[in-house]
Amino acid sequence: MKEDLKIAWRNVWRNKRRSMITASSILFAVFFAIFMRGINLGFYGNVTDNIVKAYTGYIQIHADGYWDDKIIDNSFEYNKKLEDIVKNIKGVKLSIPRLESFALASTNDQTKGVMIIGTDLAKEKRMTKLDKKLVKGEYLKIGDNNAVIISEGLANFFKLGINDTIVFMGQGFHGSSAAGKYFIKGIVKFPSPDLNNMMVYMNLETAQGLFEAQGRLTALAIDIDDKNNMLRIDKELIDKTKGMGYEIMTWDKMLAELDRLIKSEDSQSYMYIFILYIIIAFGVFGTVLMLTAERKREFGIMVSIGMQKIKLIRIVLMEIVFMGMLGVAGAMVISLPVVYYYHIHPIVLTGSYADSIRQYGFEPLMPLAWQLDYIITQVIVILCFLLLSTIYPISKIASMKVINALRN
Amino acid sequence: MKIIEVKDLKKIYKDGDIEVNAVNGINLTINQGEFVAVVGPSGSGKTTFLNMVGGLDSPTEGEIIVDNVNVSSLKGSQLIDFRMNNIGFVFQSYNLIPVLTAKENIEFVMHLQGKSKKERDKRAMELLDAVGLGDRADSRPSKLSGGQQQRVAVARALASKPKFILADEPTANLDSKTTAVLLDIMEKLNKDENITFVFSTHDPRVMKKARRIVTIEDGVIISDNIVKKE
Repeated sequence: MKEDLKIAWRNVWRNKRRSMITASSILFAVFFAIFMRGINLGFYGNVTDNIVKAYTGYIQIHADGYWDDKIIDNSFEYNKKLEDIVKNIKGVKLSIPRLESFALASTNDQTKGVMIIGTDLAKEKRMTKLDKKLVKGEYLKIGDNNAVIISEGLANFFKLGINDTIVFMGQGFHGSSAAGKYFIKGIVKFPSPDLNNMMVYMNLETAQGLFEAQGRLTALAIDIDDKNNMLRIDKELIDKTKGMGYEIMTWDKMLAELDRLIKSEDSQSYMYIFILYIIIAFGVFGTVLMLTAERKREFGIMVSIGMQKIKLIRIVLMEIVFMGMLGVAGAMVISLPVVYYYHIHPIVLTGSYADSIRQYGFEPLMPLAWQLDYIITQVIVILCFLLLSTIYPISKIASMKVINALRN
Repeated sequence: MKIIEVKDLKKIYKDGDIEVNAVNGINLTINQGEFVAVVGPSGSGKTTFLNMVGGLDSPTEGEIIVDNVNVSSLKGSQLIDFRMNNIGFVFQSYNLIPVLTAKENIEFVMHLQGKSKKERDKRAMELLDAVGLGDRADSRPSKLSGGQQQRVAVARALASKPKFILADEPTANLDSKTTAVLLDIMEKLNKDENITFVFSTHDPRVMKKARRIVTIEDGVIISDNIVKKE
């Protein structure tokens, strides 16, 4: 084996320029593939984190059918059993009980549709950092049962400030009417114009009182320790609440449109990377083709003096893998520090692109993803291309007639 | 002692409908320790004959028995192993492995045979000394002259302790002086170590050294003469 490795290694360097060109092309392909994937995954991660952390949570539990028909009658009773099930699942960091419904807000002679979210405000600030979005006033405390936090756009619409009063009217549970008057304790600002123009937060109990839905929730939003555990936790929740009349939804099901957008962008990026790899694969194949053709006679000599073809194939495979690994190693040396740097110091987007991203409620940052899986994937892909390219020399050596090779 | 026995050997090449009888019924016996030159004009069939004796090419008809083994019945890896353990090859254009040094080229076959590093080192150096290249052990083929490369090739052919050496036009690319040195080395190895050499050649300098000359024309032996007594 040592002898074979020695021969293979030396063969790599017998045509230094060609080997360097091949290794360099692999290096740049892997580097760009890692960089592109890093940007894509980092950006998608940032977008989903923004949304998931800002509102939905990774998973939500609703009454069966709520997501398709978001009315308060499709709420569910929050009980100890469900609380225990959620609490006892490994990886669940936090669960936030919410009662959400649309209502009409009015002051003096103006009326506007708003989204009222009754929530455990202490837990809410742990996941969505709602308190950090305060631009005026104070965050609600337990017992602030006649106070609300409204979004800045809404405050501007009604020309309201702290301690002003706002009235909500809507439909409560089972057709009851919901109406209440609250004073404004805080004003929050959301980057997304949609959210900024319609959000109202109040304590869960206050909302349950307003909508005559005591003890009921429309959603239990769940935050988790590690997003990679999401599917496992989702499955556990589904298994453990089977037959209890709940629907368990992960963020990508709730935000299907965003998920589709990400997936379609992702497919595009895969396509670009695939094209990049195909170009490189042809380059590598060209090298393999040349080294096979120019050494046909040498292969014949080696077999004629006693080298088994399988051993010869192994040496040629080692050569190609060495060449590939040189490129891959070089790519790692260059790309890992770059990816890590931009992971820690995300690319800050500017101009109209940044503005449009801000409008969706996201930070205009493009951090590169720092995950081993996609980096390893690039290495595996390039190794697969290398192995594919070895089919040619393998088949040539396997079918080689020594006498023909010697006559070459 | 018979080392090579060739019976009714034929090789027919087909090129479309045309058949070419490259070897057309050769019978020949070569004994241990002989120094045989197979001669004949270009296209006479001598290289084809040697290739078949060496198991590099398969006969259309006939048998080649080497040390009681029917070479023509061996296939694939068996044949490769047989060549490695029984036959040494010296090619016209040296054909050393370019990425290995002179010593490593010699060791290569022994490595394939599974010999120990110590044994390989010892024999490689002995053989390099025998061909007068002990001081060029670490030189790669590209740093050696044609004659030196061919001497390394002879040493390589001997490394596996083969039953005989087949040399196809070994001096064709060498000048007179180098040819003389190479032939002296091979003659000495033949005499001192009783190694059987079979050459194909049309070089008169090789023929002069040979003790037996087999002449082939149109794929058949037209003469087989002992020219020098042992």
